[in-house]
Amino acid sequence: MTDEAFAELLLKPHADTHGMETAGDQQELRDLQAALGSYRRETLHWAERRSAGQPSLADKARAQQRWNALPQWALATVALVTIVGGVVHLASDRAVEPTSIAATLPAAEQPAATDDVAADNHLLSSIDAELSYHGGSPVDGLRLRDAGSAERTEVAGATD
Amino acid sequence: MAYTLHADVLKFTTKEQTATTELDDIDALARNYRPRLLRFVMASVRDEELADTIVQDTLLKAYRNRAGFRGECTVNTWMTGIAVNLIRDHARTQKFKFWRKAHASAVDATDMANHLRSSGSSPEGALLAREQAVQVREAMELLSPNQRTAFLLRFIEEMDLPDIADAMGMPVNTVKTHLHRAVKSVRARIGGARV
Repeated sequence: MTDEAFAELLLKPHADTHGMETAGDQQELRDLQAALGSYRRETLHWAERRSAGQPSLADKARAQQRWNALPQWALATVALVTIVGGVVHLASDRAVEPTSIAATLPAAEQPAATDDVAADNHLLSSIDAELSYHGGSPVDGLRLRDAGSAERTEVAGATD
Repeated sequence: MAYTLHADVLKFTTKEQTATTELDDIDALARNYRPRLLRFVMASVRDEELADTIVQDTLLKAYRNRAGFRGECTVNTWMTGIAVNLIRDHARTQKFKFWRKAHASAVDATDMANHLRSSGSSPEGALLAREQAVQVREAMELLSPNQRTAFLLRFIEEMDLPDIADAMGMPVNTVKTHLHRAVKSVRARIGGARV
C-alpha cells in the first residue's frame, strides 16, 4: 500500500479497509490510528493542564500596546515640531521688508564701513596732492632768469 | 443567484465579526487556543519553557495584529501560521542555542510521557496508550522540521491541506510531499517497532 493511500486513510477512523491488499496493511493502519489517537489525547490533556496554570495575558498585552504606541507618539511629536518650526520660520521671513534690510545690519558693522570710506578718501586726497604742483618751476632753481637780466643790463650799458 | 450571493456575503461577514470579537479579548483567545497551540509548539521545539514563551508570543502577536485578520481562514489557522513563523524565526536566530537546548532537553522530553495522564480504562490500557504516544513522539523526532510540522498539523491538529498550506506558507503540493515523506518515515519507525 502506497504512503499516499495510507495517509488518506489515516484520518478516517472508520475507513473502508476491505479494499486493502493484505490483512497486515489493515492491522498497520489500525495500529497507527490508535497510536496517533493516543498521542492526540494524551498531549492535549497535558497541554490543557499546563495552560490552566498560566497567568492572564491582559496586563502584558496592555503594556505591549503602550510600548508600541510610544514610537508613534514620538514620531507625531517630531512631525508637529517640524511643521510648527517651518511655519514660524516662514512667517518671520515674510515679516522682514526689503527697505529695512539695511536697518537690520549689525550696528558694529556700520562704523567700520564709514572708517574705510574715510581712509580711502584720505589716501586719494594725498595722492592727488602729491600729483598737483603748486611751487615754481625747477628751472627757477638754476637762477637762469637772474643771469639773463644781468646780461641784458650789461648790453644796455654798453650801447649807451 | 442574488439570494445565494447575499447569503454568502452575510455568512462571511458574520464569520469575520465573530472572529473579530473573539480576537478582541486576549483572555478568551488564550482560553480557546492556548492548549492546542502549546501541544503543537511543544511537539515542534521539544522544550517546555520555550514552548510556553512561543505560545505566549503567538497570542500577543495575534492580539496586537487582530486588525489585520480578514477572516479569509479560521482564527485557528491564522494563529497556527503565526506560531509556525515564530518557531522558524527562533530556530533561525538562535540556531545553535536552540538545537543544543532541544537535544539537552530531549531526555526531559522523554519524561513528557511521565506527565501524560493514564487515560486508559485499565492499567494495561493506560500503559498501552502511553507507549503508543511515546512511539509517535519518537518517530516524529526523526522527521525534518517541515515534515514534522506538516505531520503534526495534519494528523494531530487534524487540519485540512489548504489550511496547512496557508499556515506553513507553501503550496499544497509541497505540503503533500512533506506529508508523504513523513508518513513513510513514521510507518517505518512504528511498523518496525511493531514487527
